[in-house]
Order: sequence, then structure tokens, then C-alpha cells
Amino acid sequence: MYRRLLIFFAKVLIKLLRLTGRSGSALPGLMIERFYPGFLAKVLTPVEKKILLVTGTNGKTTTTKMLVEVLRAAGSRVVTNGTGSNMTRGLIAALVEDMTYSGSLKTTDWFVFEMDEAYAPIFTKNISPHLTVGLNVLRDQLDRYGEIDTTARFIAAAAEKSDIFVYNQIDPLLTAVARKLSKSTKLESFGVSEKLFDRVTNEQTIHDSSVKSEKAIPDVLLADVSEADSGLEMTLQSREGDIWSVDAPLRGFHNALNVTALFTVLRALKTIDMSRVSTELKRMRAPFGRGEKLRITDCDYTVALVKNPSGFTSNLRTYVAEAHPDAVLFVVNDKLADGRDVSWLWDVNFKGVVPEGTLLFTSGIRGADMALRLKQDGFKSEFIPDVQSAVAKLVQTKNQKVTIIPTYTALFEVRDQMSKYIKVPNIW
Amino acid sequence: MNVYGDMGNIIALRYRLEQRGVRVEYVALDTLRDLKKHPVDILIGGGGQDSNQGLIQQDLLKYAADLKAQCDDGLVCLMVCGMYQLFGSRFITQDGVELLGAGVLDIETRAGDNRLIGNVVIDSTWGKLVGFENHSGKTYRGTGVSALGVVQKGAGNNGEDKSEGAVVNNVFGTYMHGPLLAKNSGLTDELIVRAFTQQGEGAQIEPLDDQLEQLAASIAIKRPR
Repeated sequence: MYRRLLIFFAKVLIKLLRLTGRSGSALPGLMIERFYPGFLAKVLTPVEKKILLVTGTNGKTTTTKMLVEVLRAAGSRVVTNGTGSNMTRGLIAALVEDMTYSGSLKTTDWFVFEMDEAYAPIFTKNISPHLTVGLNVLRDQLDRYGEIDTTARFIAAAAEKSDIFVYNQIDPLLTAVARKLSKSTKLESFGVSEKLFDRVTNEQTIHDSSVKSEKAIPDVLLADVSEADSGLEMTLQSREGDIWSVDAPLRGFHNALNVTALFTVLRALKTIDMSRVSTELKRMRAPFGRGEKLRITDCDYTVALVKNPSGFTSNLRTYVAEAHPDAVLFVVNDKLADGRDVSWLWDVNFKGVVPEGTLLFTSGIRGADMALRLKQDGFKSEFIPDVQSAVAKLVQTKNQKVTIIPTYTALFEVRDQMSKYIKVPNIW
Repeated sequence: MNVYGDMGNIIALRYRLEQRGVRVEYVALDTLRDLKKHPVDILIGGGGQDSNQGLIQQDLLKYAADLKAQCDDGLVCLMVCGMYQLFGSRFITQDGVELLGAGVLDIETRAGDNRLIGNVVIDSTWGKLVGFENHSGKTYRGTGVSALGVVQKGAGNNGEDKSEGAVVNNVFGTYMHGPLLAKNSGLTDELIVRAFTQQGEGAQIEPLDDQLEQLAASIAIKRPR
């Protein structure tokens, strides 16, 4: 009874917070955490076979969103958590918001949770999900959990508790995790064809071993991929010989891998008509901050969030080297969510990547470090400390094509500034 | 040993040397045995994962005598974090196991319980230095080294004696990332001058326009721990 009341109040709190324009997860989540310990286990254990976890260093949000969209388009009722809310409180808030005012879970087909790697073993301590997908293990923010071996162990713990583990077989760490799992977890892998091996950047495979080390045929193979104006055009192949032509409004090879992961998950669920998936994907829009295009007075702005060297390298290739914008604005903060140690900027290479003649601007709390980084790779840039002025300058100079590359907290500041000029979709 | 933005020290050095018209060649060494084949002017070492550190340690010990001889002769080195520890006499693990280091720096490190992590500012002979530390090892100096500087903000070597880093001859050891040589251009130029002196060249170098380095440093210095 007391617990139902708690949920009722938490729901009201979320509604009120939304009315004031704030995202409602931290406070309601904290409330439930404090007064109803074990909430998640209590509520989710009865439905644990409907839980799908998406984890890995990069690509969680994009892959989770794609999975949710496709499942909903197929008629499933799906509950999911918001981007960035991928630990305890975020999950609690997502569930509470969906529950009835009398404190019960509504009948749901799938719970698809984007999950922080370090939180995954904690979540799966008492909850055994149906499926966990490990997208990749890459060096993340330096001052986070430290070592990639540790990250791999976190994912292994969650995978061990899952019925199915979907993993990236190009990633030596994830492959090693898969090999060590007990027979009770079914393995499903995705990979790329030999001719695409050199498209997989050093950052995607990382560590030490080469891409060619994994000889086994994956369950879903990315056979081919090309970039068109509208996005990626991919050919995927299943182990059984199905061939799928897939178009997605996303850019970058890293996203082709995310789509391949998506297909591997869907195939493993066995409940989806795979021939319909491509149609659904075409209708999706890229999440804000992940390569979505916006138009401000006849100029195209693309915002591409960066969180770590591999993501930065991928985005530089896609949205600067290949897209060839007139101007690029880098916005670098060093709050906790951005990574407080900016040393990682020196693990990104700009020489030979940023085209000559591109106008470069930097902003954010550590915008001077970013300008210094560029200078040390031979590029001149203009440092405009305040984000409002930086975005205003960009809009004022009317460059046809602009790329904005922010770190995590800077993304929200950029979005706020851009919404002064046009209607900006919600960050989801 | 370069998983922690450590390439940045190489990038900063290369930039400052090339600005002065000096040709720079970067050699990545897989083993210290290669030092004989490829004598270098400046040796840089960074951080790595524990699993790699074990492999490096074996190699270091094998060629420790050679390395020490070169350092005694004045080889310019910057050793950060993992390599800083390995250049010391020993590392004592949580279980009391002693792992030998190269013995170039008169320091020893003990595994600690907490992580010493955050922005760090020290006062040194080469001005205020700013960086970011992230280590659980606590390092204590013997009489054979001086500190790189005195901690103004942060923990430094061990969070107890307000010292950061260790210096002997031309060997500099530190826990400061940042990368250390990117913003702290005074120190970077010091390494360059010493390397030229070792070559027998004159020790005068042209100053560079360091307004951006200084601006970035002053902003970094004000950031909270």
C-alpha cells in the first residue's frame, strides 16, 4: 500500500517536472531508490524474459532507438529509458512513468533498456534479461572506469545472466567474453565481410589484435555498405543465406555496425518479420546530436556528439572529412559527463583529416584546449568561450554547411542555442 | 604504453621543434633493446593497462642496465604514470608482493586503496604546471631524486607529502596527464634545450607565441579538483 502511494507520488513528480520543462528522472528516481529499495528487481523479475539490454561504449542510444522503433512498428508495446538515463534512476523513472497510478506495470511486450556498461552487472545481479547486446568495447572517457578489460568484465557479467548474448565479433574483447560464457547463454554474433575490413577503423577494433583474427562466419554479416545523400545503403546477410537490403538515415561506418547489431538482435528474437525492418528504418530520424541535419536560414547544420577518441575519430571522418563543411565548431566541456580530463583530445588526429580551408571555431569550458589541440596539428581556429556567442557567430556568417561537434553537456547547450533560431526536436 | 592521451606529449614536442625548423622523427619502441639500434634524443613513456604493464616490466628489467647507463649519461626522458612507476626501484602490490622496476628513479610505489584522481596544479622551477592525475599507486621519493614540483591543488605522488613527480639528471617522472607537455610549454622547451645540449648543440632556442598555451593553462588551473 505504502509502495503504491510512493509510485503515485513519483508519477506526479515526473509530470510536474515535465511541466516546468525539466527532464524528470533524477529526483523521482532518487525518491524511489531511497524509500523503495529493490524496486527494480521487484517490478522487473516477473517480466525478465521481456527485457532486452543494449550496452557497449559507443552506439547505445542509436541502437536502442532503432530497436524500439522497429518493435513498435511491428505492433509491440515497448517501454524504454531516455538517452543518458541509462543507470538506476533513469530506469526507475522510465518504469514509474509507464506504470499505472495505482502502481502496476501495464502489459508490455518488450522492455528495451540502453544500459551503461558499468551498471550492467549491478542490474543483472537479481534480474536475468532475455537478451544482452554488446556493441563494442572502446576506450571511453579517461577518468571513467579506467580499463577496457574492466569494461569487458562488466559486460560479461550481464551476458552470463542473459538467455542470449549478441556480440560484435570484430571486437577481440567481446569475442573473448563470448568464448568464456557458460553454455546456458546462447551466442549470436555479427561481423563484416573481408572487403570491409579496412573500413573498420583502428578505433573500432582497437586493443591489439587485428580484424582478421576472427574467422568464424557470423550470424549476421555486413556484406556491403555505401553512403548516399540520404544515408547508408547496406547489404546484410544471415548465416542461413537471407539477404537484406537496408537503407538507414544515418551516416558513418560505425552506424552500419549498429544496424547490423540491430538485425542480429531482431533475428534472435524470432518474432519479427525481417523483410519489413528496412522499411521501418527508412522512416526513422537520426537522434538529435547524432548527425541529424537542421536548417537555419538556408544553411545546413549537422550536430555530432563526441564522447571518446573513437567516436571523435569516426565523426571527424564522416561529418568533416567526407562531408566537407564550410565551417566546424568544436564545443568542449569538462564536467563529469563530458570526461573531466581533456587529455583524450590528443588521442584524436586532425592532421590530414580536416580539409584545408575549413573555417574552425572552438567553444565551451575547455575550448582553449581544443584550439591548442588544433594548433598543434597545424590548424588555425577562433576560440569563442561562450557557446551563445559561438553559435550566433556561425549563424551570422551564413556558411552553407556547418558541422558542430560537442561533448555531452555541451550538446544540450548547443541545442538550447539552436532552438533560438529554429524549432529543434526533443533530444531522445 | 600510450593508452591515456600520452601521444599528446609527442605531438606537443613535435610541434614546438618543427616550429623552430627542426626535423623530427618519431619512433615507437616495442622493446628497449631497440634503443641500441635507434638511439633517441627524447624518450617518452606513458600509461597502460595492468595486463600490458607486466609485459613491459619484463622488457625493462632485461635492459635496465643499458637504460640506466644512458640516463646517467644524460638521456632526456619523460615518464608518465605507468612508466613513471616502472622507472622506479619497486612497486609493492596490495598483497605485499614486490615487483622490481628499472631503478632509474630513486622512488618506490605502493598500491593504494583509493584512486587519486582530478585536476592537479603544482609549483615548479618551470612555473606553475597544470595537469590531471589518475592513479591509485602512491609513490615515495628516496634521496636520489628531487620532486618535479610542490602540489598546490591535488594529490601528487602520494597525497601526503605535497610532492609531485621526480627528477634526476634529465629524467622526468610524473603522474600528470593533460597531456603534461601540451599546455606547460616552459617545461616542454626545457626538455628540448636539454636534448640539444646532449647533442652538443647550443642551448638557445627561439621563443614561440604561447598565448594560447597560457590561456588554456590559466583556464585549466581554475577548474575544480
